[in-house]
Amino acid sequence: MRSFFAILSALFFLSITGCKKFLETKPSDFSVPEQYYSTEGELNDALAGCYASLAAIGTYGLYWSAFLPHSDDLGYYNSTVSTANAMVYDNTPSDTYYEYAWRDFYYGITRVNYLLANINKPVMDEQKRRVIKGEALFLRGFMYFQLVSAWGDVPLILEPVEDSRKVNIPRTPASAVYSQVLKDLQEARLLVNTYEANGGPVHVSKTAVQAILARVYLKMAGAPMNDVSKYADARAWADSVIQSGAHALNPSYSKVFINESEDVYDNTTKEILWEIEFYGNNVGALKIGGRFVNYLSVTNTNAAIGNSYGRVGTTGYLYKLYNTADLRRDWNIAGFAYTNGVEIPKAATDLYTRGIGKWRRKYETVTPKNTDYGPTNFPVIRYADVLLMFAEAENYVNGPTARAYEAVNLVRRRAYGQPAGNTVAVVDGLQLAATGNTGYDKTVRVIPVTLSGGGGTGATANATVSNTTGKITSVNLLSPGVGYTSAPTVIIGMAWAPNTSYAAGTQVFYGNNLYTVTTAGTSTATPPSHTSGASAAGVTGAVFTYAGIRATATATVATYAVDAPASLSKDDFKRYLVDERARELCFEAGRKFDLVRWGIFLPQMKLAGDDIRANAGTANQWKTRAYDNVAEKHLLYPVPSRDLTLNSALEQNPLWK
Amino acid sequence: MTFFVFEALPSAKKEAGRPFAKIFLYMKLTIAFVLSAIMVANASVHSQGITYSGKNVPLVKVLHSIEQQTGYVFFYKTTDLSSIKPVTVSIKRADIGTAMNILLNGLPLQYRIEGNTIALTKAAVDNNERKKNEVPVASSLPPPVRGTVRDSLGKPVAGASVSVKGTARGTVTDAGGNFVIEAVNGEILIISFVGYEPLEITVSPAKTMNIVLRQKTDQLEEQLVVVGYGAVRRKDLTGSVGSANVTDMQKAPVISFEEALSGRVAGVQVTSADGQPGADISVVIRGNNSVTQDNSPLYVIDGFPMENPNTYTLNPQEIESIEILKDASATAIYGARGSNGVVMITTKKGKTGKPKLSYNVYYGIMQMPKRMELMNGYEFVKYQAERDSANAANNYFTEGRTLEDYKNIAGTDLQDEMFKTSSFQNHFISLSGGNPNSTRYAISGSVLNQDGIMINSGYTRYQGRVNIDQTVSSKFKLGINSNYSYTKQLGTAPAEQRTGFFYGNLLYSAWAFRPVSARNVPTDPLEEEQGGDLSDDDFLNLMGFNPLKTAQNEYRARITDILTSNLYAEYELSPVLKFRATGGLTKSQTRRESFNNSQTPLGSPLTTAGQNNGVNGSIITNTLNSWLNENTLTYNKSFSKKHSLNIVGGFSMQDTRTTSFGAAANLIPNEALGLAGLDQGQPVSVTSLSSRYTLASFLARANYSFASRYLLTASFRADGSSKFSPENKWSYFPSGAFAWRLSNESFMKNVNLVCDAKIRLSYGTTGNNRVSDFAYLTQIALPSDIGYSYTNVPVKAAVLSSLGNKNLKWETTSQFNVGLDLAFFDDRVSFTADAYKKVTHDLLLEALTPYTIGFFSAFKNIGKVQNTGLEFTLNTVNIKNDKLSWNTNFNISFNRNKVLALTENQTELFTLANWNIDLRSVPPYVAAIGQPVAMFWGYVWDGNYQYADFDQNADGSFILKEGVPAYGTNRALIQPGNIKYRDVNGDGVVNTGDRTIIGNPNPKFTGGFTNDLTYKNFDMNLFFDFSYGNDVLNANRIIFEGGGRVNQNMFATYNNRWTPENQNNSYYRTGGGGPSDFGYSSRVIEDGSYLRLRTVALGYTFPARWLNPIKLNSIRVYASAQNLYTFTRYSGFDPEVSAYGSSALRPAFDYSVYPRSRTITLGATINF
Repeated sequence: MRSFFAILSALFFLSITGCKKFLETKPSDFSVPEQYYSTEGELNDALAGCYASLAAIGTYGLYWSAFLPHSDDLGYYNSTVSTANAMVYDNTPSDTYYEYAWRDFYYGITRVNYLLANINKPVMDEQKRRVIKGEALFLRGFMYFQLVSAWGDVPLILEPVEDSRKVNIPRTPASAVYSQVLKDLQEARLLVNTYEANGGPVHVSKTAVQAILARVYLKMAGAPMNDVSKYADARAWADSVIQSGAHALNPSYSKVFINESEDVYDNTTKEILWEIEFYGNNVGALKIGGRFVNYLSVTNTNAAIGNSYGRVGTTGYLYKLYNTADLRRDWNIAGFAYTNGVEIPKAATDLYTRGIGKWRRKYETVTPKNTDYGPTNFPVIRYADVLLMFAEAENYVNGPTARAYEAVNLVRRRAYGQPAGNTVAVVDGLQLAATGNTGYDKTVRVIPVTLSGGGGTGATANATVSNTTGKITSVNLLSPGVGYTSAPTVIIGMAWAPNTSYAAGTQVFYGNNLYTVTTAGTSTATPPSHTSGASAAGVTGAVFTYAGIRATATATVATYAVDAPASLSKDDFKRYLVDERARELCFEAGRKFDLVRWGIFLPQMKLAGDDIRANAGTANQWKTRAYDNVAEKHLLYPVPSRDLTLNSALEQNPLWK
Repeated sequence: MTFFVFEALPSAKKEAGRPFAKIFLYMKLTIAFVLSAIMVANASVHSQGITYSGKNVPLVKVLHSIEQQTGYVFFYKTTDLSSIKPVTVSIKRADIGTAMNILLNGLPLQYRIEGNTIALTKAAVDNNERKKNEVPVASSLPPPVRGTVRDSLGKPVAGASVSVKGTARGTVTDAGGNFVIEAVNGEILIISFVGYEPLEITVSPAKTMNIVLRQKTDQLEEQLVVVGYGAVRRKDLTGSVGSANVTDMQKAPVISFEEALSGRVAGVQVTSADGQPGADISVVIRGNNSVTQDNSPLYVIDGFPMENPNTYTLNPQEIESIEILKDASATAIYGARGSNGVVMITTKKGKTGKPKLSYNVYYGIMQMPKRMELMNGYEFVKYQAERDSANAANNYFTEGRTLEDYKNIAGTDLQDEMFKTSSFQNHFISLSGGNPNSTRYAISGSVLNQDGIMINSGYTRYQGRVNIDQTVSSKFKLGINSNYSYTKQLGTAPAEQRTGFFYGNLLYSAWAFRPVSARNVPTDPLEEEQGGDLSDDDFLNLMGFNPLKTAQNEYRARITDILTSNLYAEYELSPVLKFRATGGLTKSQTRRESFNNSQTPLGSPLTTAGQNNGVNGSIITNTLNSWLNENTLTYNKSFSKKHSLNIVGGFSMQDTRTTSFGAAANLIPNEALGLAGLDQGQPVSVTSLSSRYTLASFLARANYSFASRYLLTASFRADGSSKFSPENKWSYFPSGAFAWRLSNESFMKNVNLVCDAKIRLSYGTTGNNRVSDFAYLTQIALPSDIGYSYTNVPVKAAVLSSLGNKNLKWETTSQFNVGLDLAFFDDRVSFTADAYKKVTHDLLLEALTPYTIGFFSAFKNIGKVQNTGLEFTLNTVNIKNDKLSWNTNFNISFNRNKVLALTENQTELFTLANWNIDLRSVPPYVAAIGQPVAMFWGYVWDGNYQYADFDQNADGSFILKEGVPAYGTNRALIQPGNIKYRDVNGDGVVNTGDRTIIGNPNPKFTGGFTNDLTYKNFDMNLFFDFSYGNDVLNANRIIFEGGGRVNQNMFATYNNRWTPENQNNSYYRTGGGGPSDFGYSSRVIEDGSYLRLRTVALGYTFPARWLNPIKLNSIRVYASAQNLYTFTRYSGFDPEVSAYGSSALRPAFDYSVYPRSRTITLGATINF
């Protein structure tokens, strides 16, 4: 027995010495915060994580950019599937859209907090450190601004949370959150680079920070804080961007958004101050494509163009805010639907089934196009917004001054393609004649239309052929042109011409007759004129077979003012801006917040809903769901139930209790 | 005693007249029958178990006692016994021959057994003298036959009784095992001796008969039970240790021993995920302790402890014993890893003797015992016409076809083509032998191939083992035990959820596929019927994919190479002190291969996934390298015959390193190359993970026994683990147990009925460390789906991937156990009962954290779970005679699981199942405080709305009566025949507030029932296992009884749906299924109770005389069957199902699982 214990003790003694080291294993596969953030490269990788939280599914990847901003007065939830969700305001606090947005912003804030806590760790270039710190501070301020705008009071956490037991964190009053937002942004402004130095709108720049500051102050000046003293600050910050001279408007409204899909950076006008960048198609090793376009653009399953679920439709209310001469209308509101990848124009009267055309996947250059992910970037702040913010703040502080008008008119002139302003005479509409119109090839759904004469240029149109009756169903104005003093002549399809090579299947008209080329050949000087059967090849060259009677149409013209109406009262000018912001900035995720700060969210929703009820026809009445359901509680988002359950110090917004 | 078992049952489930009650009655009757057979058998058996001891007792008194014990009657002349002095004898469990030999030793008497009588006469000549003189007793007797009786080790057996069958001639063997008896050729000798199997042998013409007696294996006295760091005799056990009957288990034609373990040992619940060859099997001992973490036991294979080893790599035929350590006294020696119980597996070692070569082969078929009945063509079209008349007109009633046209069309059922009868074969060859003083060896190898019953699935294993023990000197022993195994599991998994949509699963497409199309009904009589064509579009319209193409083309393989090697050295420092050092090594590599070519749902240009990713594939290789060193010192001594002490002390170190490397690529241009062409595709991800975990432990255990009456065990283990922060690395696990062997008390000596009785008590704590290797550290990672692009230059992002918890420590389970072991009728009936209560606290819970702190979840020591239970095991030898033997084992266990606490603020923890987008955010499970870890959660189903619930409007339409609760926002949508849910909270509306607990996946009891019969050369084994009171969520019914999509087929049961002509409460009307997010209701919760005839084996051993000419030792041919029949009310394939594997939070979920097969094999074991 004694020997047993003697040997055992010896054994234990020998083993225990080696034990301590044996048990101290080091992770080989990941880093721990204590060791990380030790080089400039690691700070940069961590900063990428901060930016990435704005490209996540809950934020601009999908929910914050596409789902949660809708429905608003400009776009409705376009799905008949009766799923209760936040897009039709039939949701509970456990709705995943709110939950993921809340989650991704707080994930981002945590990443910033860890980065800032370790910012001084590496030995590195101080200027570069300042920039990283500035961008991180900006991102935190921006994310808290989103949170406080949407939820009101939110937990304000500025340090890394290291103890998983400390989870019961109460909400901080909104005013304190705003103070922190301003503090972060103002500090960031002093640290970040200029747009010029960044070489693009992806890293946040000084002017971008200034523009966001204007947005924050404008929000503080409106509901629910209603601190009108902040209009002056908003005016000053917006003006500082204007005065910097660093930014201008791209002459083409549509090009701004085509650039987003083509991954082109307009470093000439620099209209986009800051955007969220998405990359690739999620096929490769780094899966950081965006999804918002796949839900916002016109419904389509054609893979070459790029799949879209068309989850948001445009309202008649928005359509009617524009006139024909405003080029933004037919860009933002797609006048077509896709059938097998072909854009089939919608009738001019059909206002309630149109999708969003602001971003169009056909311009994406990354192939193959993924059904759910793509590279289109999302603009967070554009110079047009800065101009309109300036006009709004200036109007409040000084009234509708010349500078206010100047800012608005810059936006409008670009929208009409009229840098000089004044008025613009355009083709206002096309009317299909009731007579004739038979025998069109049912397989060619869209045929060209030419507009000639009338003194103007640039108007374009096409015509839609019914695939069942072989009749032209509508003649569609694609571009209103400019300078039309009288109605131009409308020619549908192709006129016969001598000595022209015709392929089989081509349709031409001569006089009032419509012919289909049934044998290819080159036309002679003899035009076809028969009204039944085929022509002889020996006579007409190609064989022309009589198809029917051609369709005809007429045009109307109108003249529209480009600039905002002069001499508006202060209130009317403000109301004018409400509409102008809709026309310019629709679907860019800011409308709902604008309406809330103006205190007109529910009335505007009513206008849009009433319009559908009155004008959309019975088949479209389901589109009023969001407008039927929306209520005062939706002015603020509900605190996600998941966090309410797990954080006993958290309280729900009163109307959501 | 047995009926006590039934009184302890909880009252049967609510509804009366369920078929299960009948099954139960049947079981009851069986037990009663078994018991009565035991009684009858006992009365007719004479030759076993005579026990008598006394000093100076008159001989007559001893004879009287023998008469009472056996039923033999003695005949003797009083005068012959009058001169005999009182005798002093000690007979212990002897057969009659032995008893008589002992009793009459030295007395001038001889005996003769004739039937039930024994004649005692004066000895004419002493046996030994007679042998000396070689003079027959009487001239009428046949000539003498000589023989020697030895045991299997070749040692002579002295005192064995030898008698000639059917005569009174009998004798006993001498010290050399020799005997002489009068017998003629062809007569049968019966040789018996205590502790050995009785043997019958025909007298052969050979001069000397060499007879080998086999030792009995079921003798309680001698049975050693392997526990941690040693073995104890079963009678000396203080803890609760269950032994599986490995011999019986080996009769089951299965790949892994775990498949055969279900129902074998009380307290052990075994559930396989589904019927796929190589499917996950979860083994839970005495209920789930952990909520989010693994509940599987610790496996100790030949002394090497492993968490989650791949048990499929072990050949069940090489297993010598399986012990299940259940209570804290038994498991505490495994400390931090013992709280889920311990499964101790010992493989066969070399046995002394001549080289023994054995070959075992079996070959068999596997079938699908049940298929889902689907609607036929006519029923399908009828339903489609009701569901969407416009669609039906376009698809089925084209060109003038009518419903009647579909009447005689057989229709397509893809189950016919998805499933087949498949083959199963196994070859096992082993060689063993050795010398007790030098080398003993066992070398074996096996090849197994199982084709699955689903096309293109199966399992293959090649395996070999070498086991060598070397005695270097009388004090020094060495040994090595190595196993290598290669396995390959092939085939796609129907239960795999590819997309999170119900139509992503394989069997969805098989069941959903239309049985007929308009093409089946030719308008032109000359047109050929084209029912068999499978158009891709038909599947795509259902959002599915041709399941035949999927199964044939989707390549999924899991290939493992595992080498385990254990070495030991044992040195006897002194007669009482032994030192043992072991070193073990496990190297395991698991490769998962996956390839989706253009004919698969994930690679086909017809599907979204295929369009996005093209042909794609991946390979991931996981390796695990673990070494172990254990050094123990054992002290074993008895003092003054009454005290015996056994102390073990030791130190152990284990180091486990894991890595994972892999790559995946999309858009692979040349699919013909398969995975070899992965490099030509566009790389998607490269996996590279590595981790390490070390454990150092000190252990000690003392066993003290006083006169084998009072037994004490105390054990202690200290574990240091790298998984925790420096402050929390060490933890300590004590336990103690006490057993009182009543049968050794003098007051029990005269209770002849009870031959063994023991009461056991134990208490102790054990741990669970199943968290990831570095859960205590906050982690920063650069994942592939988080990054950012700066002006088209993408970069990866460093993000905080998990929040560490510096305070993390072991989960601790304290368990109290009280047990009772009883044996009656000379061990012919033995009974064990255990009751336990265990509470697990500081639960290692992956607790959700509020997003505000920036993390999804963190490991915390939070929560408390309790398991209480009862276990009963009854072993009986019902009949035991020369020709016929019949043994029965019955075990049953009851476990009650209860959550006592969860994360702070949490009273219930909901768990989602991601198989159907409509139900994605609707939890089917809840773990609520006061309830089991998982309960089914949902709406209470109340049948259908009937006409009585409605008012009829003037236009004939129906509107729900005021006050009748409705779901959804539009009451007008609810029509007669709609599904009805209960307004549980009575607020007039059925909504999320009305969800409640609707079922319990935990069985009220489980168990098994084995019958072993041998008759002459035939042997038979029948094994049933059962589970009662467990519910199953049959999610198939959500989709295939009125749900799902247009043009989708339904189960045939849905023909009985509500119609105005068939108003019932069984199935709702077409289109009356209510909101799709209401799917989880008591409608789809089914009773999963079952009684399964799990294994049947029938064997025949050829008589030795046939084999001698061909120089074979023995041949046994057999037929065995697995899963032959299951008695159950469950409507799905099989009630033993868990689509989510071993998750404690998501048990018993059935959706598109691989059906369990029925296996029937024929085989032979040949010993050369």
